[in-house]
Amino acid sequence: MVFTSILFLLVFLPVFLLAYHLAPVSKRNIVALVGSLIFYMWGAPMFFWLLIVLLVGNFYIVRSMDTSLQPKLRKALLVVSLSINLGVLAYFKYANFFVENVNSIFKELGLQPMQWMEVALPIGISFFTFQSITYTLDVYWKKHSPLDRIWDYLLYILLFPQLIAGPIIRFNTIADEIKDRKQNYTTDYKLSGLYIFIIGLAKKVLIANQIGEQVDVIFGHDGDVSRYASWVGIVAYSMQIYFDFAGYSDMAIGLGKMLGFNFPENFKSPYTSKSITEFWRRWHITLGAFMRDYLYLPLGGNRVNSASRIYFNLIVVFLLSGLWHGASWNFVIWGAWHGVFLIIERAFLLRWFKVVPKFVQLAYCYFVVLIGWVFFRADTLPEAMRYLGNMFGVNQGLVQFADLPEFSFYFFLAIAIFFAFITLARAGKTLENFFFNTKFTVKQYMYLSPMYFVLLILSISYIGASGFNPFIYFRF
Amino acid sequence: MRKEGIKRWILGFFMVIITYPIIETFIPVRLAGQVNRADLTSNLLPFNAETWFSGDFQSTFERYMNDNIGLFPLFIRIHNQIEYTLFGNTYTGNVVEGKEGYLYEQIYIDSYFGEDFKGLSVIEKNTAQLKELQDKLESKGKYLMFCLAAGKSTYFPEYMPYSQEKDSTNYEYYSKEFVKQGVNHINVNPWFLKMKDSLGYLLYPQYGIHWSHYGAMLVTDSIVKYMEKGTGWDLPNMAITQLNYSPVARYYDNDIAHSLNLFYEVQPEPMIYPDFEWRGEKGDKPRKLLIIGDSFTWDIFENSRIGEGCFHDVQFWFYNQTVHRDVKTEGSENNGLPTLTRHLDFYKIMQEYDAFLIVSNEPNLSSFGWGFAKDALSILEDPNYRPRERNNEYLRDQAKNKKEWREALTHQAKERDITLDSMINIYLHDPNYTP
Repeated sequence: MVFTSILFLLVFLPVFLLAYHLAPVSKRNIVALVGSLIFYMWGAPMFFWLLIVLLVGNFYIVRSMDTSLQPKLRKALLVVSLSINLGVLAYFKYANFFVENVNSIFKELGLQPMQWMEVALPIGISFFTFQSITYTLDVYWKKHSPLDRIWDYLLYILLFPQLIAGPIIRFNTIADEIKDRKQNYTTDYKLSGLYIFIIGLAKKVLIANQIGEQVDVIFGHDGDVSRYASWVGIVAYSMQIYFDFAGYSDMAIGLGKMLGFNFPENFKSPYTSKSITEFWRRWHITLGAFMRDYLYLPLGGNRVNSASRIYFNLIVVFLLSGLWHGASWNFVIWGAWHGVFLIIERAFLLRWFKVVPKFVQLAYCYFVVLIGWVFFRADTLPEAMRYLGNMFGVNQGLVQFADLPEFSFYFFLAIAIFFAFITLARAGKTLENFFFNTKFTVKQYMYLSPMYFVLLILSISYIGASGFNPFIYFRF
Repeated sequence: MRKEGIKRWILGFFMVIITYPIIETFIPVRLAGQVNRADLTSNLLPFNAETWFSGDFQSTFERYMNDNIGLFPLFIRIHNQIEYTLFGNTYTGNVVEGKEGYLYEQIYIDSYFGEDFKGLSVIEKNTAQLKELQDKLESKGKYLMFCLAAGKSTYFPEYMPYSQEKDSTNYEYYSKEFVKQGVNHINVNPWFLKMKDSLGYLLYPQYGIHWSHYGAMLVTDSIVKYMEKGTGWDLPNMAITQLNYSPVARYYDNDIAHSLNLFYEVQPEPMIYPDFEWRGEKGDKPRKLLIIGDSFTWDIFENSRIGEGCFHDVQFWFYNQTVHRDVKTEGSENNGLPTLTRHLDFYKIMQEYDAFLIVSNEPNLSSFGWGFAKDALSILEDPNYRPRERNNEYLRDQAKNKKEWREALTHQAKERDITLDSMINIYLHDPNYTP
C-alpha cells in the first residue's frame, strides 16, 4: 500500500485515524501497531512473518545485552544483533548483486556460473533495518534504555508513516514519545500534521508524478537522446526525485504528527546548497545523521591522526551510502562521486569558495548533483555514460526534443524549479518557515484551510484519475 | 474555548472529506453521477491464500477501490477538466487533440499515414476473395456490397495534430483494387470531400469519431440506391423532408467529447439533423439485409429505420462477432448478453438473406471484413463448416467482468446447476447454445 493511493487515502487512513483517536490513550500504541501490521502485511504478505520473527528475536537479544553485566557478553550480543540486521539486509538486498558479479568474473575466466534463484526484496528493508540498528546501538551505548514492551518495540520499527521510505528515526530521539506523547494530542498538532501531510501529498502527486512521466520517456531511450533532451531530462529528474522523496517525507512527518509523534525533518531545500558538504546537511538529513553517528564517528570521524584517514572514512561512508540506495554499480559510483567532491571540498575547495560569488557556488553544487543523478537514474552504467556523452556533445543522440515533452510537462517543471529554489529569496525562506514551523492562529487556520482543501482534492483527483484512460467503444 | 472549537471544526471538516467517499461506496447515493467509459471496471478476485500471497488480491482490490470509491466520477472530472482546459490533454483511450480543438482517434491518424498498411498482395488476395463471394451470391440472386466508410483524417487533414510523410495506405489500395476487380462498393471519402465546402453542413463532427448523423443518413440513402441499381430491385427510398439545426449534438455526433468526462461537455458548432421518411413499397418479396460492420454502422442500424422502412428484416453483426436485431428489443432478448455469430445457423442465414453489406472504416481495413468473406465462402461450399472462433480471450473477459453479461450468465449457470466458468465455456464454444 502506498500513501498516494485511493486505498490508503480514502479507506485505510480515515478508518485508522478514527480508530486511533477514539481509542483510550493507553491503547493507542496497540492500535497504531495493528494498523502498521496491516499496512505492511498488505504490501508484503510473504515477508511479514519473517520480519516479525527477526524483530522479536532482536528485541530479546538487545534486552539481554542491556541487562548483561559482562562486557564481553554485551559485545557478543551486540555483534549478534548487528549481524542479524546487516545479514538480513545483505541477503535480501545484495545477494543477487553479489552473485551477478561473481558470475561475470566466472564468465571472464571461463568457469561455470553459480546456480542461484533470485531473491525478492522485502519492501522497506533498507529503512527498518537501519532503525533496528539504531535501537541496538543506542541501547548498547546507553543513550537510552530499551523499551519494556515488545509491542512498543515493534511499533517503533514498523510504524507505518515511516516504514517504507523514512525518515530514518533514531531510537533515542523517539523513545520517550513511544512511551508517552499525551502532550502532543492537541488539535494544533493534528491540524499542523494534516497540513504538512497535504503539502507532501501535493509535492508527490501534483509535481513529482507529473514530471516523472516525461522523465521516464526521456530515459526510456537507453541514453540515446539529443543534447537538449538530455539536459531537460536530467533537470526534470532532479526535480522529480526531490519532490518525490521530500513529498513522501512530509507525508510521513505529517502522519506522525497526527499520531502525536515528532519526526525529524528530512529535506531542507537541498538545491539551494552552495557545496556538496552543505547538500548533505539538507538532502535526506536523517540518512546523513545515521551515517555520521553510526558509521563515520565509530570509524573515528574527524578525530583521526591524518587527513588521509578522514578522507578514507568519508569515502567508506559514501560508498556504503550509495550501495544502500540500491544493489548496482551505478549507485556505488553515485556515492563515490559525492564522496570525492566532499573530499575535494574539505581539502581546498571550500577555502577557495570564500572568495567566489554565491551564485557560482550554487551552480557548481547543482551541477555536481545533476551529474550524480545521471548515474542514479540510468538503468546501467553504459546507459549512464551514453547519456552523459549526449549531455556534453560527445555523442549525437537520436531522439530529438520535439519528439518528447508536452506543454503540461514544462508547466509542472517550472513550478518545481520555482519551489525548489524559492528559499534563495528571503520571502521564500519566510514562506517556508511559515508553512512548516509556525503555530497558526485560528484566523490563519481559517484562511489557509481553503488552500489545503483545494490541494487535497486536486491530489486525490490526480491519484484517482491515474491509469483511467478508457476507450470510447469496444473494439474486437 | 471558542478558538479550540473552530480548530476542531476545521479538523472535523477534513476528516469528513476523506471519510465520505468510502461511506458513499456502500450507500445507494451517487452525488457525482457516472463516468462515461466503454471498457470494463475491475472485479475483485476471491480472497484466498493463493491470491493473498501472490499479491493478486491486493492489486485487484486496490484497482477496484480506485474505480468504485464514492465520488470517483467527481475526481475524474476535476482531473480531466484541468488537464483539458489548461493543457489540451485528453484522457480517453486513443484520443488526441488536433488543431483548433478538433479531436481524433490515434488509429485513424495512423491509418491515414499508412502505418498499418498490409501490403498489396494481401489486399489483392482479400479483394479477390470478396469478389468470389460476390459472384457466388449473385449466382443465387443475392447481392453483396462494401461500404468504404469516410475517415476523419481524410476529411479534416488540415486539423490533424501533426503531419508526416504519407506511405501507402490500405484505404488507397483497397479503393483501387475494388474498382479493378469489380467489387460492388461505395467509396464515401471522395464523395464527402466533394461536398465538404459546398454543402454548408458538417459531414464530420468536430468532436466525433464517426461521420455525422446527417452524413450517415446520406450514406444509408446512397447504399440503398446503389443496391437498387446493382440488383434491379425496387426498394423504398429515403426522402429528407426537413433539415433542423441543433446547438446540442445528438446521436453519436459528440461521442469523443462525451467520453472526455468533463464537467461541461464541449459542443461542436450547430449540426444538422434531418427529418426523413421512407417512400415506396417494399415489394412482394420480403428482402432481408445482413450488415457486417464496425461502429460506423450503429447510426445507420439504429437511426435510419432501414429495417422498418426499406427492408423486411435487418440484422447487424458487429465486427462479425455480436448479433444485433430489432433496435427496440435490442438487449432485452438475453438480458443484455449478446448472441454471438457463432450461435447462429450461418448456412441458414446465407440462404435466407438477400443482401449483404460490409461497412468498414479505414483502420478496420487491416482486419478486412473480419473474416466474413472466407467464412461465407466456406459455408456455401460446406454447410457443416464452422467458422473459427475469434476473440475468445476478450469475450471471456467481458463475460466475467461486464456486469450485464456476468449477471445473465450467472443466472443461466444457476438454471443449469453448473459453475459460472462452465457456463462461460458453453456460451463461447457450444454451437448449440441457447439462452
